[in-house]
Amino acid sequence: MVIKKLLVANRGEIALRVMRACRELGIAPVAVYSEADRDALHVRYADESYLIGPAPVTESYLNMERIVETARQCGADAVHPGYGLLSENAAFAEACENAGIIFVGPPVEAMQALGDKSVARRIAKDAGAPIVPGTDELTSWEEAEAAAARIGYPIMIKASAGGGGRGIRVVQRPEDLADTLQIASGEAKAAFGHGGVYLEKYLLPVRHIEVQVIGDKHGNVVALGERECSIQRRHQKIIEEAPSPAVDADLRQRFIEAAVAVAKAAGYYSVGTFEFLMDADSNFYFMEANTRLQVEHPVTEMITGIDLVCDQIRLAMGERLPYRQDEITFRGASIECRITAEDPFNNFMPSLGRIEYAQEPSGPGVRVDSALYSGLEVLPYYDSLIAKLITWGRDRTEAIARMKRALQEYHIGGIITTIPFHLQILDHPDFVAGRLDTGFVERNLSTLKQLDGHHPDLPLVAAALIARETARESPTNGRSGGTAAEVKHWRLAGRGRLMSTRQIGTGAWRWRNSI
Amino acid sequence: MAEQYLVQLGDQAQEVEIEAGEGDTLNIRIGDQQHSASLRRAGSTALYILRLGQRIYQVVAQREQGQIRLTIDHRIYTADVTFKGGARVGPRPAPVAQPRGRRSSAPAQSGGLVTAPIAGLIVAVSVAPGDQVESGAVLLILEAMKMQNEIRAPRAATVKEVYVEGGQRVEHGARLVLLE
Repeated sequence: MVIKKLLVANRGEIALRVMRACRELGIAPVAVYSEADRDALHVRYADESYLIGPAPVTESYLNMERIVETARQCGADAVHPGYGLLSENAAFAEACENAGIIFVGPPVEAMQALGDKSVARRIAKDAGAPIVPGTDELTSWEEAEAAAARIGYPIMIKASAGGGGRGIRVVQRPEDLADTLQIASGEAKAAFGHGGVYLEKYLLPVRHIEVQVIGDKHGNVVALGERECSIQRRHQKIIEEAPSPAVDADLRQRFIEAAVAVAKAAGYYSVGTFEFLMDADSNFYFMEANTRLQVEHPVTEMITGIDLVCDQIRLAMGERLPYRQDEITFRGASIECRITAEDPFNNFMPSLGRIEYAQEPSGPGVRVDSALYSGLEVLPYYDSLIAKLITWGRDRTEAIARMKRALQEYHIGGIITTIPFHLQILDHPDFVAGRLDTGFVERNLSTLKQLDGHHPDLPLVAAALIARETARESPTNGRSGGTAAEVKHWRLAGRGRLMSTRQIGTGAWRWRNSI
Repeated sequence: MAEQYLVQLGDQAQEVEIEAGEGDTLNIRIGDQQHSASLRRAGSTALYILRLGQRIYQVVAQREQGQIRLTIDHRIYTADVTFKGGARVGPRPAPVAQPRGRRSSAPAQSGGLVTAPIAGLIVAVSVAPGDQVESGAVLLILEAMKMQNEIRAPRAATVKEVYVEGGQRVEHGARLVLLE
């Protein structure tokens, strides 16, 4: 099985990441895109690109028939699903294979088994891995009510078909169970097309630790160490790192054994992640498996020197794993910050608009996985992740110092991003000390506020000088770059409008505190 | 002769006086503060390089509904600038009344009107006209960017009208609920 042409059924930074691997392997990358993504970087990067539908994902990036048909017609030997979208959809993997196209991912049977989170729990249990107390998929309200009472509050409602932190809700009190079940089920149905949910004990404080696994089609499975992903908000990871500051060599060995056992029990190959929760006494419990490449895979690549995507594609061609477990070594520490188009100081509301100018960080130990460019329009149809910033250092302290430096270097003009929020987390004494748990962000949300920043005159001077410059560039002054209409716009307003301003919510920090 | 600008940031307006100095240096006066500054645009991009005193800032500028939207070090400022007079000649523009377009994503309210902070899909409506709601009560759920955002009451109130229903798509700024 040789792959000469590979269609990437995804968008954004991960599409670009997979295409980069294709280039290195001498494989021709093919892009698919929605009407909103005509100018996207992944489209420009590919050798060929095909429009597959309107902006909403249900009409484009989730349109299985269209994608498989496009792959067939363009002569692609393989399809890589990236993460999210169709990546954990066993029916899609099956459709690819039925069309004679290699699906770059695990076997359909393993996807089906592990993709159903409640079945995955049973497989893990049978393989000897400890699991979080909980239920199978719920079938009735009475069952939910009784199970929740038995397990005890707070309790988590999780989508059977979920993953990536979607479709998870926490219920604190019995009286909220019914409403929250409805929301969680609705979210699950909207996101995954299946509304089934199950309950799990909500352990606190707990660390989220996951193990990266890679396996070939010949039965060899190796674990590439752990990642700590405890910095989360609403079950969306914000910062990930490898290794975990709470895992020593002995504990790592136990994690590796547990993950490999579950992977083998499921007949797994390709790359995958086995997620665990770990309590303060270093007891860990299997939570779920992600049968795909993870967003945070780069931190593992940074400390192992292994290119997970290149290897994943090679394994899809039937090659044998080029390393044994005892050949895996870890060097230094790596951190990833997920930069999203959200306003961290206004309840993480999405921040939409045009990125008028982008300048990415660089320098020693810095890696940027993004699909940003000057002129990119951030749209409501897609995930708010706009860039991943990854640093490596010889130890955690150096990785953090480099991350702070790189975050400060990142210039994204035109939308609000979570960069200032990351900077504050990285400065928090608990984070610096590696005292992490999944409640960190919620607990510190009220103190992680926008810091006082600029001299109050800075934005005034900038606004006045730029307005002046624009007027000077206008054709009325015999120079190019701007129209008379624009100049007029820049100069309109007047006292009549001054009183009409009303600032609420975000204005409190954006204006009063920040100038 | 100095040029005078009126710069409005949020709900505060300030006069900024600019006078050309040596070379490309501009002498700025704001209240009793004096600054030395210069500004260069990076080609025809939206990036401006501002020197204020000894410090250099990268400023990204966008025009948005007659306003200037600035990004400086991960912060966004929206300003109105009015040319007041001085060395420059030109017709004084007439004041134009128009709603201020904000990209703010806070649940916007005008009086008791709750509007959509972002375009999306109404997943569920939790209230009906006549309902009494507490401050912070969930009014409805708006799905955008794959997340279900709970739109909450900004204060205790009575629901006067509900303009949307489950399954409906709404644009940014659409009327959702009227509170009394």
